[in-house]
Amino acid sequence: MLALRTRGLSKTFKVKRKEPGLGGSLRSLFRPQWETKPAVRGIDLDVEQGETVAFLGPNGAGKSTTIKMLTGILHPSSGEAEVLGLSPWRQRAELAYRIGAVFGQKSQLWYHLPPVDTFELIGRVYEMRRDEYARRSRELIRERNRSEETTVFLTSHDAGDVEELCSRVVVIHHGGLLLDEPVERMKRDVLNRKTINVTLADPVSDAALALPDGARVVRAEGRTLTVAVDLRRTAIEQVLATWIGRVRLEDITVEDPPLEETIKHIYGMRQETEAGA
Amino acid sequence: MTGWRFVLRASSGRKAEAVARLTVRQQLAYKTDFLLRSSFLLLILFVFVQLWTAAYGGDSAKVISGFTMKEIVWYLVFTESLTMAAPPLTAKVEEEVKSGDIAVRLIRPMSYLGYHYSTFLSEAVFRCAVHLLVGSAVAWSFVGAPDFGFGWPGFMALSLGALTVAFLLNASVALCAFWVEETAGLQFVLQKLQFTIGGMLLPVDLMPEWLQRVCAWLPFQAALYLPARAAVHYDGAMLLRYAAVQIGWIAVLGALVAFMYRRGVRKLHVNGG
Repeated sequence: MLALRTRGLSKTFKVKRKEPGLGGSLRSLFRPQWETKPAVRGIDLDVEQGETVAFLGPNGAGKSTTIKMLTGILHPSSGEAEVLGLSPWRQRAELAYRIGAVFGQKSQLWYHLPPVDTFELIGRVYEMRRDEYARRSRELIRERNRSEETTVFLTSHDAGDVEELCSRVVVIHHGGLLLDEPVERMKRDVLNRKTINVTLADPVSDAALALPDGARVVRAEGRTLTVAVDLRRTAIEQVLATWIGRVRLEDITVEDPPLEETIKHIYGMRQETEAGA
Repeated sequence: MTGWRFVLRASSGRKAEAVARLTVRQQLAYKTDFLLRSSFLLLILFVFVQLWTAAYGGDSAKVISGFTMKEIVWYLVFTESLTMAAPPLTAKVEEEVKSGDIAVRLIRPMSYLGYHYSTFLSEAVFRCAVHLLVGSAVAWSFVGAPDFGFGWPGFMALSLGALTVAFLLNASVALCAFWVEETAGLQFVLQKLQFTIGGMLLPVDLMPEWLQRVCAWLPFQAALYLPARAAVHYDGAMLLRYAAVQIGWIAVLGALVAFMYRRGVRKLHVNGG
């Protein structure tokens, strides 16, 4: 069954065109000139249940506008969409129970109150059983923290994380669809990870590289290796220090992880290429 | 009516209650805000006590348009407590529209107006209680103890209706943000109407005859004058009549607000990424 289906989904916005200066502002006050700006142009999309789809594009490409139409917040100018068999803008309330959406910079946390209160409220709003909601959020928090400690996360005011967890709990419960804008997490992920591209003078086995914990070879093509470094566990200098004097280096660069690596990492997919070959 | 469906459904009631509880807890975090408001209330009441003392020539037995000086000072305590209790709904909605935060409200399975109604009401009831305490301290020390008997429960009962009317009046201005994005001017007008013909500064009874007749046909007095007057001049039959007036206005304004919301949300431009 299709989770999501759109045909020719489009949205245009009407904006007032203003000429520069005071004169321009006055003219637009009395004789406004309207301009239609296309934000989303004819999207055809089929997504099966259980499928993970990345929806990418530069700033202003209409990604958010599309998500807003799929959640029913915006009415499209033309085209149609079906989400979990419902029409988003006609059946917004009904659909709301079954989708979780995290909007990049938006937050609905109650500042001054611990995030656990927001969790409670969200559970209530989605009409979930209290114990059910508590159990699921505990599970997800534990998974996120990779420890039994659930309070660590709950006291940190990381809006994005709390929102995402809220949405995930809801989606798992109601068997729906998660629409996500992982901007904050991507930024954090990029900050926490680096990639070292190294070309060695002589072929060397992985073991001889003696990489510290937190660094691992993700790709190897002949003498050129790509090493992913988790900066929370080890520093770039530490990795380099293990090599100096032990292996002969021809070329070395340190850079941010590529976009697709970051996306895979966020959604917990396995790295396809392991060292070897 | 989308806006009022939440009142009718039991599950929605529980949602509203959860929001209300959180709102009150959030309020407790704003201690400085409360202190400032309360000291401002003290100042206003002190000024008005001086003014009315001069108007009554210090004669506590004198009656002007049916009000003794004591009654009029207590009347002010009630109207000020209610006025200052109303949270800035218009600014909140305008901010939500401008920043695009309205998106996270609209994707929740909870009525948008219902959400704002429960935060408005819970915040207002909580603040009103604090203001009444502070205001009573001033009035008590200058004009003497309140001996209104059933006036107190009368005030409590009509306050809920009054705050609901205040919410709907504010909501009808706030929802204009869906179209114009700038509602400060309208809000200013609404507030001044409430201060004057709503009977905040002085009871409608003290106004000229023709103005009283105009006021009777407007919703503003249902939000301030009616509960405050019921408090100082309690009368069972009058209480019922006042409640009926409030219910009437709640129905009319509720329909207007629900209509505006339905139209507005269709054409809403949700900002931001």
